[in-house]
Amino acid sequence: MPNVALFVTCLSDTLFPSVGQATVELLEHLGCEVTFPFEQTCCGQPAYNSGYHEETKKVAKHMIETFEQADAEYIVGPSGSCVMMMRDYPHLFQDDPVWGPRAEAHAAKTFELTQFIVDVLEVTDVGAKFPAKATYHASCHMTRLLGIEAAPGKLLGNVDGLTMVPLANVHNCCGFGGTFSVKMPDVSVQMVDEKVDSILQSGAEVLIGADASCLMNIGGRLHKQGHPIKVMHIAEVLNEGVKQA
Amino acid sequence: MSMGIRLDEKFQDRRKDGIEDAFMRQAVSSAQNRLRDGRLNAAGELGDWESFRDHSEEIRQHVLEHLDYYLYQLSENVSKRGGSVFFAETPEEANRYIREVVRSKQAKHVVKSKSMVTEEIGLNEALQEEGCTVVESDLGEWILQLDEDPPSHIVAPALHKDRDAVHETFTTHGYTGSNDPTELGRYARQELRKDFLKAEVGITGCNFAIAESGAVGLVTNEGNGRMVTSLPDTVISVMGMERVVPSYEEFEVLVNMLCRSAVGQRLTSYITTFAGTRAVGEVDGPEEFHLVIVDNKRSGILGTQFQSVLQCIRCAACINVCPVYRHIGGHAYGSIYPGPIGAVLAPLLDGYENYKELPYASSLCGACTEACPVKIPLHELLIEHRRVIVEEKKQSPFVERIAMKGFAVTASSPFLFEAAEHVAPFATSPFATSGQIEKGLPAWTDSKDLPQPNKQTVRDWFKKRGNA
Amino acid sequence: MNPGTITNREDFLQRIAKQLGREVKLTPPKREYTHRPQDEVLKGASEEELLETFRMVATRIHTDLVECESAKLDDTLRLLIERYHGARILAENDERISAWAPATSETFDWWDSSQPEASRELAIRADIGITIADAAFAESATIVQYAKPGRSRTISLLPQDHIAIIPKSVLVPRMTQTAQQLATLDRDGLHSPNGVNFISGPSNSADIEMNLIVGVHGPVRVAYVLVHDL
Repeated sequence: MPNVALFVTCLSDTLFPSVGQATVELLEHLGCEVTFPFEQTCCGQPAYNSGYHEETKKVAKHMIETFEQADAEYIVGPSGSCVMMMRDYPHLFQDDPVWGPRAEAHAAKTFELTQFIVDVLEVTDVGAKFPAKATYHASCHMTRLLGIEAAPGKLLGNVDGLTMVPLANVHNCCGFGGTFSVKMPDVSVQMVDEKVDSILQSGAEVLIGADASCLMNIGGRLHKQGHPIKVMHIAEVLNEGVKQA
Repeated sequence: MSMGIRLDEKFQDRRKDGIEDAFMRQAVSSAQNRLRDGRLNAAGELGDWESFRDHSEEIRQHVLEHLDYYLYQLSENVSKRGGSVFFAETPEEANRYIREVVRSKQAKHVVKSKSMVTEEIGLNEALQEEGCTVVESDLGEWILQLDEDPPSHIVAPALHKDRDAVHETFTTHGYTGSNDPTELGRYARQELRKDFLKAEVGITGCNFAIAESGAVGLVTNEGNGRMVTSLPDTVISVMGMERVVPSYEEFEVLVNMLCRSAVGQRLTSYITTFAGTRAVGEVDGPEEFHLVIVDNKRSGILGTQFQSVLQCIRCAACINVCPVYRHIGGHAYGSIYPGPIGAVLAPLLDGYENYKELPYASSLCGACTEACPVKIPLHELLIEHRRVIVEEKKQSPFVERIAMKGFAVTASSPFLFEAAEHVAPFATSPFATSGQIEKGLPAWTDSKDLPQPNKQTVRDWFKKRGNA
Repeated sequence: MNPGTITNREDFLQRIAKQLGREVKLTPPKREYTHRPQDEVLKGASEEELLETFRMVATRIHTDLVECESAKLDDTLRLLIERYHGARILAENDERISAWAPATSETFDWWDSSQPEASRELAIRADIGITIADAAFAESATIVQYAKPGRSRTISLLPQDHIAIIPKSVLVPRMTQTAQQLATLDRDGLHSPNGVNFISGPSNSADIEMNLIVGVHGPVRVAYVLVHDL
């Protein structure tokens, strides 16, 4: 039975707890033993992307230590972006003889949820059932920087009753970009508006994504404008029909 | 035109102008879509695109590591083939030399093919002071020159103008035809042909110089590069010092990558190389040739964490996929180099003073890095700029600095972190309606709602569940 | 100023070397690349496959392609010139053209380097310029013209239209093969030609609303005459 330490991510922990819960239930359903290292905080990306690398190192060291103590085979999180940050820790400590190797070991066992299910557990049909017409937002960090392109589609393709429709300009960023969205809201809102247009044109009732940050951004705009599109994290969709079983 | 564009206005105001320019945005987004598709098709047709990227990267890295040797070899070979070589540390030195050449030829008419480095050093203004007429012969550049407008894209400089704007510009200069692009193009052909034939001096940029040959290579579709190097008796080529390749073999690889990445073509209509002066028995090609190699702060980038930006081959693939460029357009960047490459390069060539906001004009989506044919990690260099601004220049906003210090303290202490998580629902409750925050954080809530932090976090749920 | 002068080189190179953390090095560095994908493109393609690629791409780049045997070249050129309504034809000074097209070439003007001004004038006024390609690339439907004494770089540039005769024997898979030849010349101290034009179809621009405009500075129409037995 694979032993998994949950990397919950701060957004999921506070704003979208149903995502973290679905992740735990789904992994357990797939036969994993899930632990929650309670000492975990944030991956440090907000500081890193803003150029505060000394601050980021402090946070990263704390995360590495926390997960070392958890001593799990795998670290799995429901966010391409946060996982990408943890996978990038070795880069932060590249000249550090002590923390460099620890960061390497930490990064090597950290996986994004869908990647973990498809590549490690080698499962593409989790047995979920969710009758709806949906479209998928491919988040930038997950697709481009982590290189996870196929896994979400494989999993969603096997969800019973789910019809996926294509999203125009799927490669374009939703405009979140962490602090970018509040530093340059003028540009960010143009980007999310284009994304919202594409979603509305797709005819989907549900928007699915694998990063709570993008979903918070797009969902926030959809909600502000009163569009009745349901926004769901892929963990929640994959947990549909599974949890009742 | 030197590097700066509209720097008297704030970045924020330039962005606003861009966002409100509906035509420009329509033009840019449709151009981006076409150029992106074109590039992906051209890349797909080549076969192992990633291997071509790896090879292109290693060629560029090799050249930068041995730049002194290759510039030495290039200058020796240009000299052997009858050309003169001038190494210019600054724009002033380059312009002074070129003015001297033009003066010595008593030239009144200078014709140019498209060149970013001459824009960078402000050559046209310098030559006008010399009393010459300087004509830009690239169609897009010519339109902008007639209109006194700066370029908004490094490959398609007049991207922000539509046919009606071009029609208006041409009409002011004596054109009497319609706004049909082909007819507009014929007018340009007829007018510019006269300029080519009467010019005493031709000035070109340089896509790649070939060290082993002493040749300068130009990549064009219109043929202006051929005109400028075939007809005038004196030709001056101006190159950024990093634009050298060892031999024709590397030239071939990079030219293929440039054409496919820039315009989605297998090869553009004309790839022209010329070395030194014309031979005895030749009528065309320069009788006198000068190569001006420009540093202009590039050497200061070598050996630093930003060195990889000098791998750039100016294809604009990063610009063509950038969502920020898509919405604000080229002029907003305030630099003749816009988009991701501009946001990395402008602060390095012209200092942080005018450009310290550019590294933040990115959502770090990584589309630029993915598109780059020579594998410059553009989004990582943007983060590196931010780090320099924060940690070395100490120029980040005070409030942000405090917030980030606070973040580091909180996020490395589980106790404080969990406490903060539990305070959040209460702190935000005055702004929340049925679980959504709709006001109170203007930069966010003016345009988007936000779910209110939950009173029960996942860790609370997990703990309870374990006890159950 | 004397031709061949090099100015400010030493300081310039020293600045570079200093940034790279070493002394100036003027010995040729070893070029050891780990990738070489360019040899794989169209590798092992048969002659017919190369021709198919050449044909497909020529059409794509708005270039007329005519194929014939050398015995038919005279007629083929005549018909093509008629189709283009060419009255003034300027050909490069290459004896092969008159040998291959004895009848049609009777009306041609010929480039004459000893009459530079008159020749330039002919090029400017010509309806059609005729050249023979030194090489051709299947992958991109490109033809190559080398500069050399007696030739002109402008016959394929200044006239309204351009006809390039391509002996099939000069067709190679792609630019890689020609680049290798040129690099070998340079490396052996023989010097590659002092002018090389790689031409792929007519002059064009997309500078107005991304619309294709053909014939901005160079030829408006380009025809390739591919001769199978030459």
